[in-house]
Amino acid sequence: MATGSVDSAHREARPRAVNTDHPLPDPVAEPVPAPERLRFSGSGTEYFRIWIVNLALVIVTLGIYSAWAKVRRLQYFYRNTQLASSGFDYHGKPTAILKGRIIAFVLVGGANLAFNYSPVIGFLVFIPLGAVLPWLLVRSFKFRMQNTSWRGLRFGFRGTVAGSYKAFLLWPLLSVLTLGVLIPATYREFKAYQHGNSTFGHAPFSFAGTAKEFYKIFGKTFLFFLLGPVLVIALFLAAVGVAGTRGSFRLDPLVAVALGLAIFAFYASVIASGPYLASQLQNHVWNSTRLERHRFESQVRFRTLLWIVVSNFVLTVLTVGLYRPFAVVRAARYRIESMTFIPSEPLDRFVGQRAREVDAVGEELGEFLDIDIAL
Amino acid sequence: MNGHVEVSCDYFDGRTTVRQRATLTVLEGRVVVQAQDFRREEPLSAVRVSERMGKAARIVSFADGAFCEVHDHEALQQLLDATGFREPLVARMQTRWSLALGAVACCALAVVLGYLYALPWLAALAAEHVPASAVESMSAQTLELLDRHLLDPTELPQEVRDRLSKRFAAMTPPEDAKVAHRIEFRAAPRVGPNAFALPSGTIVVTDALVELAASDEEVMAVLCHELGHVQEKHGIRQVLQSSVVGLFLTWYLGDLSSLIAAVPAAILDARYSRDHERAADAYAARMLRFNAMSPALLASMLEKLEKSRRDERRDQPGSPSPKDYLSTHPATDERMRALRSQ
Repeated sequence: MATGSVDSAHREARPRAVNTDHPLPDPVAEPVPAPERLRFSGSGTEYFRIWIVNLALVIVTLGIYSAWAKVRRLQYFYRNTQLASSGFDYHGKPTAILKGRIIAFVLVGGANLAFNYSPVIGFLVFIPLGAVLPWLLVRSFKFRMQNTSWRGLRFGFRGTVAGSYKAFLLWPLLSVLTLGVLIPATYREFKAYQHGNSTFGHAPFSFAGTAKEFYKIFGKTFLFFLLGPVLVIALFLAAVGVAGTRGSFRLDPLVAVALGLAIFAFYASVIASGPYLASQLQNHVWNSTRLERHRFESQVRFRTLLWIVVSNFVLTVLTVGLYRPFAVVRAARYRIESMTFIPSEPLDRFVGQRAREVDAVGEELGEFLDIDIAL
Repeated sequence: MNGHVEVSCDYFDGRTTVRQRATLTVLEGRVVVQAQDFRREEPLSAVRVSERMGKAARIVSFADGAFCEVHDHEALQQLLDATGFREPLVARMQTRWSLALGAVACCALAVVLGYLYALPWLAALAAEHVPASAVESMSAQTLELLDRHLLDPTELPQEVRDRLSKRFAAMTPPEDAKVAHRIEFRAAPRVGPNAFALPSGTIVVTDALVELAASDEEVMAVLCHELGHVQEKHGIRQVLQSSVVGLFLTWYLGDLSSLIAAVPAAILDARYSRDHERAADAYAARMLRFNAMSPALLASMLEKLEKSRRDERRDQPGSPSPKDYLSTHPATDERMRALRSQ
């Protein structure tokens, strides 16, 4: 790996004229560069200080500073993420984010209040909010991508509004109507829309993941982690019920202990299902993503991720939350460093143009409604 | 005088991903980038430098989108010092442990003060502005739910109910204000002797409580306590306070688990609830004295309630007695002492 980076760095040191009409490079004359592993140089002790200072300033300014805090947080993570020894960067303007946050706060807060006041009025407010959500998500992706750069070149998003309505309204509605049977297909539509419409400079990303693969991943998660424990508990409760009709109504201690263990096993497998699904999805999504002819490889291991999630959880609880920034850095490092970029030609061939400003309303609303919009 | 620090960097033009090895220096107030086959000069004021963020490269950027990525932090710092550059305040705070620890203390203090004083105060303010129709529909829904699952129609004779209701209606609340209320009787074998107030002013009394009371006066004392909850809008305040506590914990514990957030939330809410019980006791004591009755009536009622609860617990071995800090009510002894001393 190390020799690969040095090698490619030498080649890139010589700038050359970029000609987009150039014929495809001759593979013999120009060797394919070595794969580049993503690196993360952040540390828990550094991020702790950023996090706690942000938190204090957010409290002192009654939340207004949160927009600046978000920019600093993202810049810390982006700049510490390196590909071929160049960092990513985040360019979002705090004022744009603050504006977005205020609008999102008013919209979501208003809808919530209305809902508490009267469910009818609440629905009347929520329905249009749900209807404009796909449109806001397009803007959200645009904002996030156009404000992300690597080697000075901006990412971009060119998804259409119609595509967004299909991916974020039509498919979720269908998957609700089919009682969740379409969830894996819906997830594929999300990712196909998100990854398939992203760009880096002028270069387009593409997504080739198939619904079949997603059905396998979701199906395995369901079988291993949810169905089994549910059946065990159901059988157990049935047995207790049968015993209860014969003997005394009160549970005897042995039954109580066994029930406790069954419930523990249930929670343990539900907790394990999260990292399992996350690891499988990240691997499959990135292994199916291309940037022009360049590929990605993601190798998140379930067991490692489970250990990180569980130990982070325990330490965060034991430290009353103070471990949280360390936990975030640990998880980010593992997930980032599990990724490798496999170039098909040298990395200095990308070309772009200056980015236009986009406002942040969509992204902030997405954050409020807890929608994951990370690339 | 400041031209001798040379910082190696990667130069990018902002339009391509071509990386050029270059050096960065400052000569006579101008920033100079020198690469193998080009040179760029800009006045200091046209160049921006990013905050220091751990080991991440720092970015020295130009107005046209071109920039230098600097990995050699020490050399850049020397160059910056020589130009008299000063890091912004927040950036300095983020790199100093003493300030970071100060921020921890500041956050902890803000959370504690917010929990103890700001939130109860704000909730009391906000409770005044919750529309009556919302309070009404919320309470009606709660009662409906309780009726369906926990409460049965009363078995008390009509004349007992009428006598108690009339007697309470004849009592005057302290501090002139009339408090709208309605008394509902219910049989509740699974609840035992108890009474509770809904935010709308509906006070639910269980048959067992009436039977437990030695006299009508003792029932009145409990009703005074419940009227205290209604008058001071404890129901709405509790809802507001616990939703803020819940929101804060969910946000702070974040992706942990709603399950783990529920436990501290219950402990934190219990404190508010104990404060409200004390306030309702104080209100009941004022109202009883105002009507020439003794606050000790409530104390003796509390004693009986406590005893009946203890007896019930004895029938169910194994259920632990809750510690005071977990309990939603202050210790009965403490409340009785407070009432009897009034």
